[in-house]
Amino acid sequence: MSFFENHIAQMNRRISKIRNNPDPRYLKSNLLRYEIQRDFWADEIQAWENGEPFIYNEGAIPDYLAVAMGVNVIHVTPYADQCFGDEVQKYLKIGWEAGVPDWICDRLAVAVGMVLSGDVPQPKFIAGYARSCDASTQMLHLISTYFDCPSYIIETPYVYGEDSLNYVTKQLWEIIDLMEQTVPGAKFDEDKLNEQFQKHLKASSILGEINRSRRQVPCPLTSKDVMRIPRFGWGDLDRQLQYLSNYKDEIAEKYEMRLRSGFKERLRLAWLVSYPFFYDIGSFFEEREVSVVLLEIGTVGYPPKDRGIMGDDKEYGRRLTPLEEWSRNQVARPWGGTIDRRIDYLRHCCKELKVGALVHYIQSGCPINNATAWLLAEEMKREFGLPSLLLEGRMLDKSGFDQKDFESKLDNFIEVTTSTRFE
Amino acid sequence: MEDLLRTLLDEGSEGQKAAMEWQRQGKKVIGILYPSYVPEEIIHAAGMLPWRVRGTRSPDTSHATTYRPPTLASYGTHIIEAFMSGEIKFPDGIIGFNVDDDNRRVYDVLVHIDTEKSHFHHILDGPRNITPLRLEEFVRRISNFVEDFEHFFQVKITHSSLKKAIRTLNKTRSLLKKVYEMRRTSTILCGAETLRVASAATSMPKEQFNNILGNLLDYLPKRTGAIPSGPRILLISETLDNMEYVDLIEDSGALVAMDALDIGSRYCWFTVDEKEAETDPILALAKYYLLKPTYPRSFWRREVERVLEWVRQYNVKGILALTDTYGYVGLYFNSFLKRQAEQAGVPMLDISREYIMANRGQLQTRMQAFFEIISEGRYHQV
Repeated sequence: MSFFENHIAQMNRRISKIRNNPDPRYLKSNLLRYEIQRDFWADEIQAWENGEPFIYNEGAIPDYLAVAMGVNVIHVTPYADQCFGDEVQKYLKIGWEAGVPDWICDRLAVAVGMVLSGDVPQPKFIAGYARSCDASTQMLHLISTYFDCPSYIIETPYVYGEDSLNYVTKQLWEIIDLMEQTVPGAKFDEDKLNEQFQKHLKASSILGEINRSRRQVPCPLTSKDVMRIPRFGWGDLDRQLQYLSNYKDEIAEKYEMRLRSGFKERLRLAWLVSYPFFYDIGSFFEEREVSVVLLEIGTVGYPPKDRGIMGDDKEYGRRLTPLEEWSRNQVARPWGGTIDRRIDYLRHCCKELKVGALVHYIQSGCPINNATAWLLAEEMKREFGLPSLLLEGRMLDKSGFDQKDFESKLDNFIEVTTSTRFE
Repeated sequence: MEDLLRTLLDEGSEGQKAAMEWQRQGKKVIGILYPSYVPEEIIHAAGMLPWRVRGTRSPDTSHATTYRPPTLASYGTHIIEAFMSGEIKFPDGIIGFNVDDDNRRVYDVLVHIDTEKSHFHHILDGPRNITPLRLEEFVRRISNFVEDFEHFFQVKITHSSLKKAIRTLNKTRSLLKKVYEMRRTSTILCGAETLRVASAATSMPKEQFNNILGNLLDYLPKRTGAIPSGPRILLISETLDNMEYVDLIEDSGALVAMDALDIGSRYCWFTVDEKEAETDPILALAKYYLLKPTYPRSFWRREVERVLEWVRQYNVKGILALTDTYGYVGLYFNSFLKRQAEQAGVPMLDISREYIMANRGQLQTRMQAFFEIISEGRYHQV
């Protein structure tokens, strides 16, 4: 069964569950979300069967550019993140045998296994980034040794500013040229780019509203909602915009109900890096009246202060083109560059979101984070008096997971934090 | 002459004496994190000593582990420990290069703990590809680095001083390359000696190094010494600067005929184009540091071709990779190198190691088995 078929089946199961026996704890708008996702996977299968070209994109180019080029995209690690159950173990085995170190971030091994398994189409082009996760850049180097196709790594400089913006944008133009030369049928269509971009801009505005609402006390989004903030860009954009609008309204409705029910917020937590996708951590926190107000690496994380905000004309003193908007986003990423960027970002989030404590997920084989997690914890304690829990684990591979131990560490941390009242 | 050679061998092993003497003379030492693409010429042109930072050889890393879990490259942990324990004093500056995420974060931690305001800190990032756009960007970054350096230390790095520095460092590279070339056909030095000599270049004042090695070049071919007679191997690693490993290989019966190490061949294989440097020294430096043999953060196919070419040129019978257990770049790259080596009929063994010598017995057993197999031409996948 291909990756897409497996995930269509998953979406159909969820859709059926919602229709037949809806769980009141979950958002009603999830139904549309899953339908859009299912239809997107079906479109991918169709494109594959039609022999249409696919490229592998690892965060290098925006979805609206891929559509404007007329190419289909396999989003390497984001697709890997969707994997579950036996699929994970299957892809891990392939990935490790192909050369991914077995201790490195499991999502990278799953990604390599997925693309080498034959369960997704082979690429005509590979596009990646060198910005915030070099282990994933190395993963792309490895993947490209198995496929005979051109590849391009976009680099993002360490400093903010117009020079960096221009450098990234010029690289996007190079990718466009290279894809036109090497990917059959790829052709840049500027009108399409602008049309697609406008929809992404609308989505960004809705998501921005949702994100800013998190400043409220108590947080209007449940922990579960924050851990699963929707991605925009895969599939029919108009339906997705409808979904986001429904989602936003439903969040507001749910919030009213929670307030009326006397919901109390014991703790506002920032969860950093990632989390075990196979475990319902959102519900864990909800049962304990803890609000996860920040998931640092969510599909739509909380924006940095004054940077990287789509549509903003103050950051560079002018309106940006669609390609420059993507470049702006890349340049602003907190994980790029040196650790002071991330410290600044967390400082901003902790203040705005009134964070009471932090959990640093020490994701196995994540040097970009693990090599400075303790330093970050030290800084947040020093500056804000915020306590941190450093918690080890993996994202996709459930095999070593001890649920009791995991929960007990979190429970102890919540108890200590809420009883001591760090000011 | 043996005394001169001993000076280099000792400096190559220990790596601090020359820097301490330099500081005693009231001059500045600028630490460089390896693997490196940092243009040492800039530091040299400012009249300062570019000095490769080394980690502690102590097994105790209790200070560093306040910042680093055990599942990170031990190289970075031992460097942080060396500073935190007080074994090494912070030099007048630390310069890093974004060779990988771990290295970048080592730089971050060092900057965090080095609170002395008179110390300079800078990290450079380099392109992953060579195109006119990337080269232009790298030139811009190097130029910014020069400006920051000048501003911080209130010095002026002129084109003239930079050109002179290029010539001096090119001399270092050329002298070392001559040693490597001599080793192609004759065994003037064993691998451990060669790498100690090369390593000395990364921590000594270049003029002093050039003077000593220049004087030794005529002597070395006449030198008699015990050279291992076992199979010729090529040693590849990232962040390996502990010569005990090279000693172990040669005590186990092989000769390290050639290497792909940042403190070895990768340091000296090419030179900066002095003709280009006459008009634009920064551009000449940018091109040199992008084209030279490198830590495989990128340019995989180029680096594999280079290693296999060295295998041919140096009549190597097998490749031995000693990769830091948590050095992810080397681990990724070696999986590709091994596939290519096998296609070329070249045996390769990849063994994980720590920064300091550990599990010596186990390592030796595995090495000896490999050397035996390749000596007898019985190679199959090990």
